[in-house]
Amino acid sequence: MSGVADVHADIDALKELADALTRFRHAEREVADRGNHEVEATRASLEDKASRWRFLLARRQADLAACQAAAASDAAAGPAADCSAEASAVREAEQRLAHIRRWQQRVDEEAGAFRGASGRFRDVLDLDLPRSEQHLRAVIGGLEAARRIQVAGS
Amino acid sequence: MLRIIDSVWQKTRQSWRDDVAGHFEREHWSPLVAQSRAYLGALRECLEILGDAERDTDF
Repeated sequence: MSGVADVHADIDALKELADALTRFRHAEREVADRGNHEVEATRASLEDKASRWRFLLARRQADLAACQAAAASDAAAGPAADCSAEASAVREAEQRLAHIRRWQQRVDEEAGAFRGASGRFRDVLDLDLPRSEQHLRAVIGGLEAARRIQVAGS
Repeated sequence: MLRIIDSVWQKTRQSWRDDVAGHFEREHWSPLVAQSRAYLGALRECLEILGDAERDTDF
C-alpha cells in the first residue's frame, strides 16, 4: 500500500513539473523575442540620429560654403569675413555623425553575436523543451499504468 | 521564471530518485538550465550595450 502511495506522490510532483515546464516555455518565448526587438529599436533610433546629423552636416556645410564665398568676394573690398564659427559647426556635425556610425557598427556586431544565443534559446524552447515535456508525460503515463496494475492486484 | 521551475524541479527531485530521474536530469534538465542561463547572460549583455549606445549618442 505504501508503494502505491509513493508512486502517487511521484506522479503529482511530475505533473507539476511538466506543467511548470509548459508555462516556462510559453513565458520565455516573450523573453526570447525581447532582445531582438530591443536591437531593432536601437538600430532604428541610431539611424534616426544619424539621419538628423547628416541633415545638419549638409546645412552647416552649405553655411560654411556661403560664408567662404562671401569672404572671397569681400576680400578685395575690405577685411574678409570670419568663417571659423561655421567651420567649427561643420566639424562638430562630422564628429557626431562619425560617433553615431561607430555605435551603429558596434550594435551590428553585438546583434550578430546575440542572434546566435537567441537562436539557440529559441531552439531550446521550440524543439528541446517540448521533447522534455513529452518524455516527462510518457514517464507519468508509465507510472499511472503501473499504479493501476498495483491497485488492481491489491 | 527559471528560479520558479528550478524550485519545482528541486521539489520533484526529492520524491523522484530512480535512474529515470538521473537520465532526465542529465539529458533534459541540465541542458535546459545551462542554455537558459547562457541566453539570459547574453540578453543582459546585449541590453547593456544597447543602453550605452542610446545614452552615448544623445547629444
